[in-house]
Amino acid sequence: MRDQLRVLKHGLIASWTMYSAFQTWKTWTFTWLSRLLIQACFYALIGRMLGSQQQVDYLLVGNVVAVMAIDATVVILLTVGERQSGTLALMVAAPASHLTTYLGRGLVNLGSGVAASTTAFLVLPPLFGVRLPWPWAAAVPLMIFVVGLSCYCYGTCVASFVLGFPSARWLALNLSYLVLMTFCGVNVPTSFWPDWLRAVTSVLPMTHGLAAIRVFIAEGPTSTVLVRLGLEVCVGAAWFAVAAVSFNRMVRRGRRDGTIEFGG
Amino acid sequence: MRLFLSGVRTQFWLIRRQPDELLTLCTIPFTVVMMLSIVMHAARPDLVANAFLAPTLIGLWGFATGLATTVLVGERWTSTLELGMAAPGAVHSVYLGRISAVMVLGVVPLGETWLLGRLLFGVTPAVHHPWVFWAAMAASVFAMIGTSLLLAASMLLSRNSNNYLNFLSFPIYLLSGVMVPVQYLPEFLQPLSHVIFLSWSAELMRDAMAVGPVAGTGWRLLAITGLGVAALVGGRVLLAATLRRARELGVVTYA
Repeated sequence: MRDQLRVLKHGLIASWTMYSAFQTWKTWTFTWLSRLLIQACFYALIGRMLGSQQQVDYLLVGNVVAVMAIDATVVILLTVGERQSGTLALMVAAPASHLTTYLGRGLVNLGSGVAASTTAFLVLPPLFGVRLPWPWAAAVPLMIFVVGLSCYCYGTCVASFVLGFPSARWLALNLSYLVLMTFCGVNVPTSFWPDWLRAVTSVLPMTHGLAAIRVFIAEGPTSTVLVRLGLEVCVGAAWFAVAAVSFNRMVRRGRRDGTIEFGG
Repeated sequence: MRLFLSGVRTQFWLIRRQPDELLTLCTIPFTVVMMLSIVMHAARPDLVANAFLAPTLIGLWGFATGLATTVLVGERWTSTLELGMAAPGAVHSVYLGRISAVMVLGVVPLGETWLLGRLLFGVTPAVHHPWVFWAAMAASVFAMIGTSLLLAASMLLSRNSNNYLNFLSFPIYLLSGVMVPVQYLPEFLQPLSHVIFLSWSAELMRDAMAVGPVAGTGWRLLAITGLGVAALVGGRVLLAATLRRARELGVVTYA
């Protein structure tokens, strides 16, 4: 376990080095964060156009959480990049598991997403007249982190399938987070969708976590919040387990048919 | 003209070879579902026109920032910018041709939006003034070509252009009122909208879909076209200046 944590630490340092080569705090704040804040404002303004504060509340809270999904699923691009850099063969030969590196590849971006979402949660509600139950609302960033982790696990799972089709990585990234933003209760309640689609959303990340945040903000029963958050964690864990199995399968297949080197 | 057409042909050939560049077409259905689900859930059929226009114009802008604007940056990445600059022909016309080819495809999201609205939600908004609507669409595509050239030339000034391209999405959608009319923005932001051609396009196209008469069609079309011409001229001048500077400093690869 300690060895794996050490691998994770070095993986994180490498990820941070790459991330900070493209983003400085200035570019992050003035291009990425501000874009995400404006994205949430765009949807909140639709609520204002609909002429209902209830719609503004719903759309703003949903989108403040949802913008994090973009960063959380960037792991799809990063794992494909890792595979293309040809390091997999070395990792398979090393005594440590390749899973730690692959599944931890996008944690820095997850941090960026959670930070952006938290900033949006602190800054935007007063601008749109959304009332929050302070000081209890301070717990919401923790819930955003749980949702982020779940979205990240879903992203790693998608990544494990996309590794075989690297040219589809951008398509996979966009479709992955757009599915969450469209169907998981961000803009309209999941009850709006047909039964079969609602069943699908119940196994997607964001659905339960976002519902928990909404209940919490509305000062609903704590038990409902906890159950919903628990479901979000379970959904995330399930996606993570599938991702781990899928990555292992890819490596086993690669060792069997000698295609592992072709990742480079 | 020959160089321009050569650019058009090259771009269509590239798109055929790399269909994943048509990513925008795959993301539009989600925008359609998001916008239409919001207005249908709120029981506001009067806003269906807004929900149809938003994905159409977002798609047009998406083609510009996702593909047209990256034409020059892509050339730099593949180290073919130097070869283009060394060629005897005027390279600007070729790039303008490539950008125009992409922007012609920017009309596709319009059909996609109408089709999906019909198939998924069973709604199709009426266009009560079709000539005004199509004239506004044509003017918008032209203005988008000019804007794309300006953006493409600007992106050459930075080695990290993706950050800026990522930024140029929702701020533009918000300021141009593609979904929510500009009057819902704070007053201090509203003047900014007037310099973005999409705000004129969105308003004129929404009016063209409404029952009432469309006021000032000519002036509004002129505003879209005028902003397009200004961007085209600005883009041409900036591109020439950027490439000249790169030559003088010997930094073509990092132009």
